[in-house]
Amino acid sequence: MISALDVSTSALVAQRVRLNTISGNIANMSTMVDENGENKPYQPRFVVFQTDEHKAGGGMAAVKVASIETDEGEPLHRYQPDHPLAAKDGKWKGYVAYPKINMNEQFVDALEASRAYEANIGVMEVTKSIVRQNLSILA
Amino acid sequence: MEIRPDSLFARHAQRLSDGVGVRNQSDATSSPASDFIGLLSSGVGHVNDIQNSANLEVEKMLAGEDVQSAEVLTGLQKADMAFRLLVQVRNKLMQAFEEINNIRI
Repeated sequence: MISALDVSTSALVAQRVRLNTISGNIANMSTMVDENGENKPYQPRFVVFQTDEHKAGGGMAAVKVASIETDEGEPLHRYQPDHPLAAKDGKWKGYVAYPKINMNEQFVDALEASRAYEANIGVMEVTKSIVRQNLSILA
Repeated sequence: MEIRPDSLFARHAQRLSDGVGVRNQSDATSSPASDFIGLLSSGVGHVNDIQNSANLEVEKMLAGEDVQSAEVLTGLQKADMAFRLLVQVRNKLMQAFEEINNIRI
């Protein structure tokens, strides 16, 4: 009964991490330069979840974050030849690379993560109420 | 407020053995798992462990360390549930003791 709580908690933690990456994506919506000062627009990140069989046992599978992946897709190019970060030569000469972040996608993802969070808290509520009712067998 | 199930149980066990007075000490020490008191006291120890780890987590959270709040709160909830069960078991035991105590010979 108590390990059911552990499973729900693992889901809460995983969804929290997912929400954090979405926050990062939206925060870096117009980031053009990376950690080292290179001209490299921010690439959106997303989490990959994985089952965790060791946390709960008894055939129950908890969830954990397997990895945080980066979307390696082509950035968004805008023609701004006077911009200091515009490409000097090559195919995209005169274009500036912007992060390709679709805000609608990110918000739908955030909504899904927060609803999943709520659902897991609901399951915990049910578990708690069952434990409380079980106590009344003895009392 | 800090609740110490150990002391609570020790008092209770004392009353039990005082009242009944037929407990075989060597029995209790040789086979703690099969003995009812041994079973109960291992349960108390377990509840105490859960409470201690929950306490530790809360202290970490209050100290501003990087812990997941969901995990801390789940730890607290588990400690609460385990303690409530322990108290119910203790109440049941006390009830049985009172009943035996009231038997007129």
